[in-house]
Amino acid sequence: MEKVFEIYIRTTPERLWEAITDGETRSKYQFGARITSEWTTGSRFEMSGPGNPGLLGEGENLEVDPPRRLVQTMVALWGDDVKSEGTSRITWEIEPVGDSCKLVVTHDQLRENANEQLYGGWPMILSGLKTWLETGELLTTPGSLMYL
Amino acid sequence: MTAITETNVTTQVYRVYIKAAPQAIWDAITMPEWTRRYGYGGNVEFDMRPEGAFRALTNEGMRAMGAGGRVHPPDLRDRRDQDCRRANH
Repeated sequence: MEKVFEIYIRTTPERLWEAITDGETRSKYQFGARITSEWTTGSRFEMSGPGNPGLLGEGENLEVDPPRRLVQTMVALWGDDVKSEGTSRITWEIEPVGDSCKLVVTHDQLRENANEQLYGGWPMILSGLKTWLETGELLTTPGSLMYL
Repeated sequence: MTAITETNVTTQVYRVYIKAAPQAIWDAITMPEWTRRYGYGGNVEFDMRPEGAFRALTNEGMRAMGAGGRVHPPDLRDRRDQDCRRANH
């Protein structure tokens, strides 16, 4: 199963790349979860939340090509119901369009009828990313701060 | 009443979260001074009653390419009818 999410953000590819890969920034729009990695091809990444014991997720960076393309595997660890889903793949693609960027997030290698928790948060995450980059403000949607 | 059987119909759902009040988003969808600023930048005309007409007008770029005067997306009109009924309550 494959899920594709597209959003246009008024920013530069460099700023967008930094917002995706900087743990502090990432926590502002991804449910409070921090992400840490060396961001080299083949390196690992970990997602954690200050209010949550253990990791929320982890995976490998298959391709790291700043500021254009990032391909990652991910294992969700935030609950027993998602741990059993195994490994899926997330591809981030940044394309400049005029004074903005098109961001496409493809979440694939999901099993058929995969748990919606795995991919259901993307609209909220990407909306929060757009709001942060364009206005410097945080979205305070119900799930936005759940791991703080 | 005519029964319509739809086959091979796909539905695409787009979700976005916006830091704004419902009324501000409603205005941005229905008022031409807002619709000119996003999407394809065209004016809209809404007759804000159930079954009222909805028109999305072409923008200058479309007219320069020879596009026609008006389009009537039926799906938008259906959605608008529901929303208007809700708004009228």
